[in-house]
Amino acid sequence: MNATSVPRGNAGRPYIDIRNLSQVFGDRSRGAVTALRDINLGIRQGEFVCLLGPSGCGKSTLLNAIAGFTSPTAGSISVDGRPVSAPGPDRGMVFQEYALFPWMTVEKNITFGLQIQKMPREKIRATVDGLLDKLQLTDFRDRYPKDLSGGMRQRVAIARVLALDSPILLMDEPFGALDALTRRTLQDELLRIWEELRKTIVFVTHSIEESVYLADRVVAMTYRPGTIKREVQVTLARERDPSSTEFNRYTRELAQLVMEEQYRHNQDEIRVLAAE
Amino acid sequence: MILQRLLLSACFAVFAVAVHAETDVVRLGNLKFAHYGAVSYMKEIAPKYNLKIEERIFAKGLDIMPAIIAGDIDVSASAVDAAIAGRAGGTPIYVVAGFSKGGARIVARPDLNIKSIADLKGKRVGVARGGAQELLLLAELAKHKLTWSDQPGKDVLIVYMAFADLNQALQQKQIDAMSQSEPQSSQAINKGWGVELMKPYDTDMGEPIRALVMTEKMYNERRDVAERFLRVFVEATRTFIENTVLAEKYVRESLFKGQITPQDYQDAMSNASFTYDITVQHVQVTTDDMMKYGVGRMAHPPVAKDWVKLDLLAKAKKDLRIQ
Amino acid sequence: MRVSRLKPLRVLQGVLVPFAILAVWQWVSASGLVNPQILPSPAAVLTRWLAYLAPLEPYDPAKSGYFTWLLSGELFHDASASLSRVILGFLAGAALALPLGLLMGASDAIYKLFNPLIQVLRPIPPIAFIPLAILWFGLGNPPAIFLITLGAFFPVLMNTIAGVRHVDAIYIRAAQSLGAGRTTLFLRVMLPAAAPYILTGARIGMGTAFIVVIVAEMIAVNNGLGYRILEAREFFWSDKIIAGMITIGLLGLAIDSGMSRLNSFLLKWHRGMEQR
Repeated sequence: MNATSVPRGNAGRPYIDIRNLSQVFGDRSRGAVTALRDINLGIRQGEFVCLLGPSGCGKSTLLNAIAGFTSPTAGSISVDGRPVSAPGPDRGMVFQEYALFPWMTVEKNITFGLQIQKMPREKIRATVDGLLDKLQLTDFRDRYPKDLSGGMRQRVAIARVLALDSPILLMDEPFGALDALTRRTLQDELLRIWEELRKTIVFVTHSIEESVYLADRVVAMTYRPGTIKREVQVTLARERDPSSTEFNRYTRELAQLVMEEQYRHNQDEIRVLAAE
Repeated sequence: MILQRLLLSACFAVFAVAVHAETDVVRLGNLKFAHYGAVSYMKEIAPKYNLKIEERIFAKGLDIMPAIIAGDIDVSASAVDAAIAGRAGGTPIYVVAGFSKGGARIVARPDLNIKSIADLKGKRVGVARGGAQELLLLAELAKHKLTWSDQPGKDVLIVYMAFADLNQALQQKQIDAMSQSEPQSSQAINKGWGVELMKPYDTDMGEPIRALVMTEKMYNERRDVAERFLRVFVEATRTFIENTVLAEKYVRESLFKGQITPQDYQDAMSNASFTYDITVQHVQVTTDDMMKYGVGRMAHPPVAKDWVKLDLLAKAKKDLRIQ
Repeated sequence: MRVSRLKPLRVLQGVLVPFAILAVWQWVSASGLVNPQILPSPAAVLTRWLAYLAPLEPYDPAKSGYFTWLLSGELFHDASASLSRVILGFLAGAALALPLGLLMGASDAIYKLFNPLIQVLRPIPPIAFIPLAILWFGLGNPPAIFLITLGAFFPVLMNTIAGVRHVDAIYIRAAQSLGAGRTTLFLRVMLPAAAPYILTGARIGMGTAFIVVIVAEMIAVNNGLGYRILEAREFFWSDKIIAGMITIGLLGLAIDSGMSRLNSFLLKWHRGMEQR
């Protein structure tokens, strides 16, 4: 069962247009795995979309496909009318493991993308100074990633993609490794940045609460093969209160959807264990 | 019947072992030169004297000394120079015989037009350390008033290397001349890599004699074996002196495994000879010249008459009726 | 003013074993049980070592400065000769191994092309190449440097290949996402990421080079620490043999310390095995 998303307001194609996307890994001999099947999804410019689901539902695979790290087995992805064929600075990626270059200082990490674009030195300096300030990293500009806490590292990762002024931010469970307090702080910061800069954000998470807290639209995905189970529009005004009744109505609805898929995931694991 | 046969075999076995147990073993160090051939031949006739000679070939005389110190070698062939340096350095040896003379040649690159020792000025000359060829070369250089060193700055640059590497170095023009032994110098000349400059026998050492050295331990504690050994030596040398065909065959086939031609051997032996004798005086003159030319850098040079013991040789010669 | 971290107890522990060995050695030599040729006394070795160290000629202000005179002993000449051969050979070996290693690590095709030859040549100890080296390069420094180059080449090569292959794919993805092209990816991401492995290879290569130089000097040249030991043997100077060996040990220690410090400096961003 596929849900088709209808672009609201805009005529023509959605900003991120995913059509009939399928992703199959492996081949007949080694046991092909269908990670994604027939995904149809349209994302508006400036929209904050969360991909939600248990492990194995293909949400990260979908994100990687949008990023351009893999080529789809079938179907297409286009951004602003142009097909996606390779990674690029228009789709900035933030990883769960931060992926900061350990041999570069905080400042150099942020400067990296700008140097690739051959921005003049003065402009780089100004941009970087601004970002360091925005993400409260100014005191740490000369530190190496190994000296930073998880939260700070993720801030650097975000600063790094913001430096390129990427219109799209792809975030793969970026706050998953952080403690609850840091996570909340960064979530709020992310929302602030999003509201200020109006980026299009595609955010992968397995936390139901996080998805409701952050997103305009939550896309719940099925367990293998990954398809879109249901899309839920979250119309609450920000700042959202996780203890409120409305908030919990959403979390209940999504919890049921996710738990069904989680159950199938668990069954699969038991089957695999029994076979060994 | 079977029991009888078994008993008989057992007796033979015991007898054989007993006989074998009576054979004395002498561990001999030797070098691979044409004029060391008689020494090598000794192991073939040793059983006649109830001796078993285990020969071990070394690269040069100086290499044998540490083996003697370590107790692995009982008797060795050596240039007198190496023996003197060894004795000075603490090797417990006596000179008990001389086994060959000559065997030295100074060979130069054919393309350099070197006609005399004086022409070696400014040149690189290769030589093996500790051989008779080293001292003779330096004596010749001194005679012609040339200075030398293994570091640049003097008239002649001495390059020390193994005997086996000298020919190749000359051929590849890494050295300009060499003071080499036989048959290697004959080989170099016959193959066209070098021309003879001279046979350096006109110094006060004359023709250098090669020495047979024996450990003090063997001389003092195994006197009977030592005597038999000298007898084997005398007989082997006599055979080589009298039977040149046998000598050539043995050296070419057994010692050199076919690597030298008959021409090489004959040219080599025209520059060397087999002998029995050595004198205290020869050893002393060599010692003095070593001190004079700084060969061996000995702090305390040995006195020849203290360690040249020719009595066993004399006895062996008498027993085998040699003059 | 840094407070010294040397606690008296630690110093005592470190010195105890060498001191005991020296005491036994001295006793054995003094007792006359062993031929001084086989085991010279510590005093004889020390005397000879000091003579090795001391300048060869008396001080002459007209010829050279005081400091130059102080360092004019035979030991310094030998040590600098050996050291210069090591450095030259090492640099040559590393200069060949680094590009090849980077290419082989990055490209599977190139790896498959060269790997069989490498695997056959690698187990051959450089020492086994000595006769060939003399045949090809003659005498003097060329064959020695050739052997040292060979000794340094393989450790650097193997470690560089491993380093490139172990570059975490996430850095590649992050860099691609930031817009990095092939050259930038190679020079600014793969190379620094592989640096810890490469520097380990360099350290091992330097150690091997040092071992090879000693052996090479016994064969082909007429100065240097290895040559001096061989010369001492031919003059029956056992005390100088041991003095030379001690010098070699000290020089090797100094080289390894230097490499270790260099590593620490270049890898100050690296925390153990973690690279995140």
